[in-house]
Amino acid sequence: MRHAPWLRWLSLLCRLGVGGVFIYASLDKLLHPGAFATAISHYRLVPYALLHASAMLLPVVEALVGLALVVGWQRRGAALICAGLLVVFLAAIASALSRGLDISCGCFHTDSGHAVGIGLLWRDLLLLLACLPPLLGARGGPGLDRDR
Amino acid sequence: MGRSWSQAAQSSPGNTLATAARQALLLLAISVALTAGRWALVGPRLALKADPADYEMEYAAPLLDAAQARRFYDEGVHLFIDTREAGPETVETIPGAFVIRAGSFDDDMLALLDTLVPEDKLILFGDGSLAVANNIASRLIARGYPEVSLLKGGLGAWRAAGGPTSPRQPAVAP
Repeated sequence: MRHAPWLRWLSLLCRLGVGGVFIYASLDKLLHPGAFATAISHYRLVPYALLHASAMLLPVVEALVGLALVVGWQRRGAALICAGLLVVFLAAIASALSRGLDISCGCFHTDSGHAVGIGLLWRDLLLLLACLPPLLGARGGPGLDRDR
Repeated sequence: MGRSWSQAAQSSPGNTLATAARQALLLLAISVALTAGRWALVGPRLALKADPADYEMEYAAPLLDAAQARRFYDEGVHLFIDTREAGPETVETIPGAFVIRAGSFDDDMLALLDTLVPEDKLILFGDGSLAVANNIASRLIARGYPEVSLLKGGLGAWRAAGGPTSPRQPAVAP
């Protein structure tokens, strides 16, 4: 299946961009799972019994799908998971905003970071859109997937 | 000239999404396996600071941190309500605070009948856990006092933020 060159470049750009963001987002959470569990708890959305499991699983998923996007392996699945996670993040941020919670988002750093706000919704929406080219389109550039 | 991305996607959307779903399941399975291994190594040492009692609770009133409460204290508009039961730990309180306790709510409210009006802005505080203060907040709201807030961290957070204290004078005898 052949694609226009500009679409291949767009797919490559989105793949590396989203993948890089997810890898970066996972690093501090992988190093400080306890602090990340506390950051998740501030949203008051995840049942208490699942906080630790969420704090352990989420950064591993983020790191793995980020890496998969960057190296172009299982990229459609990785992009699908990224899109799903971003929808969850958007819902959590919107929920926190609607309840007037004054909390840090816990997106990249567990100890401090951006306060939950409208700007985060736009950022995650942009990332969500960037998931579409690698999900539906060409691999774009070098990668391990057999389809190009 | 190559086919456009949208044309390619439209040509076999079912196949594309099926492939994506299959790959996603594989990636999730790998993630779960990696997490399980990591949990065995790290899990027991996790430090979680969230208080289960507070976490599961639906707050009846907005939360204030100590810095915000201090600003309101300095402005002199808000009234502070000490919700702690009398005991050896309750020798001091926020200066000017009234006492309303869960165990003697009606008596304490009666003692403050000529003092509190529904328009008053009330800040409730306790010993750190919000469970008791939240209970009293919901009862105050039901009694027609809608301007209620809860002080996060209670008197301990107030002290840590440099807030002044004074000896506690109960509104009614304990």
